[in-house]
Amino acid sequence: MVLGCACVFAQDYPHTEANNGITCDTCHFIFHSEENLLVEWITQDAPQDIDDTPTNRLCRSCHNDLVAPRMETHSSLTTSTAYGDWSVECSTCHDPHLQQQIWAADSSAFIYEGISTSISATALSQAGAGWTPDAFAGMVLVPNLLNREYSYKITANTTDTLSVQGPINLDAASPGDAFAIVYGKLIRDLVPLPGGGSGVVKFYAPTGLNSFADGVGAFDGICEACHTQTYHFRRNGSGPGQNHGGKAGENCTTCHDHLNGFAPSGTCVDCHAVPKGSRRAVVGEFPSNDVHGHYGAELDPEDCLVCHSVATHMNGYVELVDPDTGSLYTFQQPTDLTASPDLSDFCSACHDADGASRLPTPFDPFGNGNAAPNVADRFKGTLQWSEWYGDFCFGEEGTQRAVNSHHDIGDGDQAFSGAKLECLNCHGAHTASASQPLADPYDTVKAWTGTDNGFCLSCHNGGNGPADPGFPPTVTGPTVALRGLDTCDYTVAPWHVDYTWTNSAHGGDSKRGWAGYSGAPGAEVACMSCHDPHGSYTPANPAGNPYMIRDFVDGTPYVDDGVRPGAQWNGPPWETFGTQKAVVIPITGVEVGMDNLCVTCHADWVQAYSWHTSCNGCLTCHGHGQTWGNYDWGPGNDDGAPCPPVKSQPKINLGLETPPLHSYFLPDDEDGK
Amino acid sequence: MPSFVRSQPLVSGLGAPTAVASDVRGQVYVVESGKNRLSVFFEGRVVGEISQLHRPISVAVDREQQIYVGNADTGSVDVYGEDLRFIRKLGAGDGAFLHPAGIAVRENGTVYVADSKKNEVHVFDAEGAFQFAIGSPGSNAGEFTFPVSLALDESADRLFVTDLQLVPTFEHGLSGGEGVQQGARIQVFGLDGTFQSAFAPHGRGEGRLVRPLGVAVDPAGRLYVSDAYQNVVQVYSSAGASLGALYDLASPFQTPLGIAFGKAGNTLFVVSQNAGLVETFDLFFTGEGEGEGEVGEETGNTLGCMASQDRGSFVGAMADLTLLIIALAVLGWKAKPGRTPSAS
Repeated sequence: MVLGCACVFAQDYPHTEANNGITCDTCHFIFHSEENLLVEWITQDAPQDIDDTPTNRLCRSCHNDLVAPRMETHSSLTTSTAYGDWSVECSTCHDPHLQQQIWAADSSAFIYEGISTSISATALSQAGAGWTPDAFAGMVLVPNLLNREYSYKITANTTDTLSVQGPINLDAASPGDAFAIVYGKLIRDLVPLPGGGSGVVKFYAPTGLNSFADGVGAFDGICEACHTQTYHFRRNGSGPGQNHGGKAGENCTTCHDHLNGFAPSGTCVDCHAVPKGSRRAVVGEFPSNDVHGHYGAELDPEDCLVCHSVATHMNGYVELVDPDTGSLYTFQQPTDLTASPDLSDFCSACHDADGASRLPTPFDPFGNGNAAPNVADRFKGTLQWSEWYGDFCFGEEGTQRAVNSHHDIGDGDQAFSGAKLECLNCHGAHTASASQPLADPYDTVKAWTGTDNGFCLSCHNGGNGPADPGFPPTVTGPTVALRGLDTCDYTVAPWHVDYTWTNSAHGGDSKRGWAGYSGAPGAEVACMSCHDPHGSYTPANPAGNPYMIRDFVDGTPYVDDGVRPGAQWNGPPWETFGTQKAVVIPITGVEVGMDNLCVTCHADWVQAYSWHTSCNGCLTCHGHGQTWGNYDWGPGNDDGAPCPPVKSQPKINLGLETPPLHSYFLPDDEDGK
Repeated sequence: MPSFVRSQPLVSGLGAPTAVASDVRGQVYVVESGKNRLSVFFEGRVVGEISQLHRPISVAVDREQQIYVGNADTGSVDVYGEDLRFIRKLGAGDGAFLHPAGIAVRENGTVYVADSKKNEVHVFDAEGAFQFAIGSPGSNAGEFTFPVSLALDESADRLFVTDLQLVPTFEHGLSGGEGVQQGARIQVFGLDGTFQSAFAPHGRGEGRLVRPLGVAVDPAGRLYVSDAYQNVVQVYSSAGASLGALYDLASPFQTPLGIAFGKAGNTLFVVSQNAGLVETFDLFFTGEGEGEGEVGEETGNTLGCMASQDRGSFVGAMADLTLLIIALAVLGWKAKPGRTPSAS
């Protein structure tokens, strides 16, 4: 009789008789003499691993998901062997008999403390309490703080009443007693430390003060009470990232789930589906046809590990694994695109001739048949060129600008030009899809939603002039010695390629789009028809082309038969004879052979006007679409009107130390079209 | 006493496997609550998988190869086709069950689901419509306390249900104990839910059970019950007489849970949860006594080993001495020494 009562008193929820008849006999074999009165085959069967201990076996006989929730042991088997082989038994942190935290000396141990106004075998009320319904479900009620050995599971609550798994011992509690609600979880108030001795634990709530690791005062959270070598929350405060990037007081198990032995739990997808603290919700960044990862399928967490390392995950940095060597690239934020080593090296290690060579399938890294295109070879162009950067208005005021044959991504490129661009300035590693590989340059974790040409112009729009080019914040422009620039009108082309496309033959509002211009194909020419931002290296043209002119141009989408209403509108130069051909732009002395590009479409250019025969280069007069009146060539201003003074014409002048003198042959008998 | 040949595990490296089932083609189905998935094995290799389940704790397969998976987190039994495509949920869908811990399916497609937290067994027709419930909370005959596993012997019109029947405290000789405690029981019902009989071998040692969390029936009607506490599989005749236990000290079970017979009829699969594997045994019976007779051909597998240690019977043995020691210990424990409330 005495023994039976004693056993009942010595158990707190959930290991109580009221909870499916859990008593001493449920776990212990009282007719035996094994240590802790365990059944002998629990103690004598050979351990199969370091987690297979007698007390763990006992706990798991119920905590296996069939009877009670299963949790994983905290050990090197479930987390990491970085600190050797170790295992923390369930009973190290948990007391299977008692809710020890109930016995804390101060009332801060309680989630809530009050005076009861009524009590029954299954409920306790406090009139006017104003509780949030079910806020305390699953916690522990101590109906009378003077009799703390009696505690009960709270199954539900209303605004003023707690329902419990009773029956409450009404001999030990009465209306008017001080009661408390305790978080529970059977956590010990003293835990043994790895190096000997014991540490005080205050585990009163899942978050905030006295939770898992609150980071304040004595290090007595259930996590920080033990840890001596971890990166975060060491018990002596010496962790290199002690407060885990501001996560003190958060619920550690949100990421370090007990289900996984407190290892960073679940998959990348599990944690990164929703934002929390500094954690990005990257899952939502992946479109269903993403080129990295789940191409045509659901996001597979394993795909994340193709690019990312989690070896030191959650230390405040994101780490990428080199596709070839396995070395790590570290950065913090998506906007941190200027980290060293250069993140573009990571991209190009896969987007090259040998793919991700560290993987078994280098050209199918995600196992979905989606091979990485070889982009790195495009950047091999060796052209480093000091372009004369100015126009006739400057005279000798012009300057030189160091440029490469491609965007300035490589270290050598950046050293030469002073400009700095990374792959992720233009592309979204997570957002890139088959239909939209571009990212918003002002928010690179979002896909670009504008037009392709609009994307180019988001940088190449001239900004507010040469001193304020208006690049996105993460883009660094070329270093140019600017001098005397206030003497000209720099709001027009080509200073910062301020191509508004208005009235340009290549622009959206070009004459080809005017009413009555039949037979003209798409009015706006795609920037990428002539340019390749990745460069134009080929073995036949190892220097690559200037201005990122493509190595191979396809003009066939823009074939125009030249037929226009009225005879005077027919014929050259309106027709375009689009061809496909390799393009090499030579730089010879002061001349840049841009004609090699133009003739891909404008084969009849020489015949268009008599004075063309004396022209020394298309770009002498024509640009992308200078907004001179309604026309798309440089010096014109209106039908039959003389050109404006030469000095006011912005002008590209290529490769010259001193701007050359040019002669302009003004049309005298034609209407200027 | 059954003898067995222990083969290589069907599969290892699992994440908290909870249940196993087999179909007429010899495919074996394993659910892992720790990885939220079901895997299908055939001839030792994975041939299919259903992922993103919701803490699956039970599984069964019918003769049409429809798969029934009980999910603890959604409180549902989800039905999948042979091609692993989702078909339907039983009954009311999510929330229809509090804890669908055991599933069994008849030849005609009738489905039995043990809801261990509702203390009932629910019966559904082949289309998934609820038919009737068996039992109610309690520990009397026909009632349930945490019914957790099911097995069918259709030829004998029998449905076996294991539960944790509450029994008087210290039933093993410590009279005077108040209240009740968790026990173990096997109840037998007709396929229509009519209570037939029960036997309650609660206790430690030979023929006794502490946590009977898995049950299966062989073609001869013998019962095999996994005990997650004693780490053995107890074997009973169709009448409930103990025939011995399966265990292997060289590689002991680590929390045996789900249990099922394979196509051959004498191949027994046992989930060993904390070993992360499914053990495979080929059983045969020799000797004399009830329940004897071979249930399958001896495999001749030299990897096998016989039961190598008698788990013993400690009921009554050493009880007096042990009880005295325990009583003294607990009496000293009653006051929770060192635990004095210092605030109120």
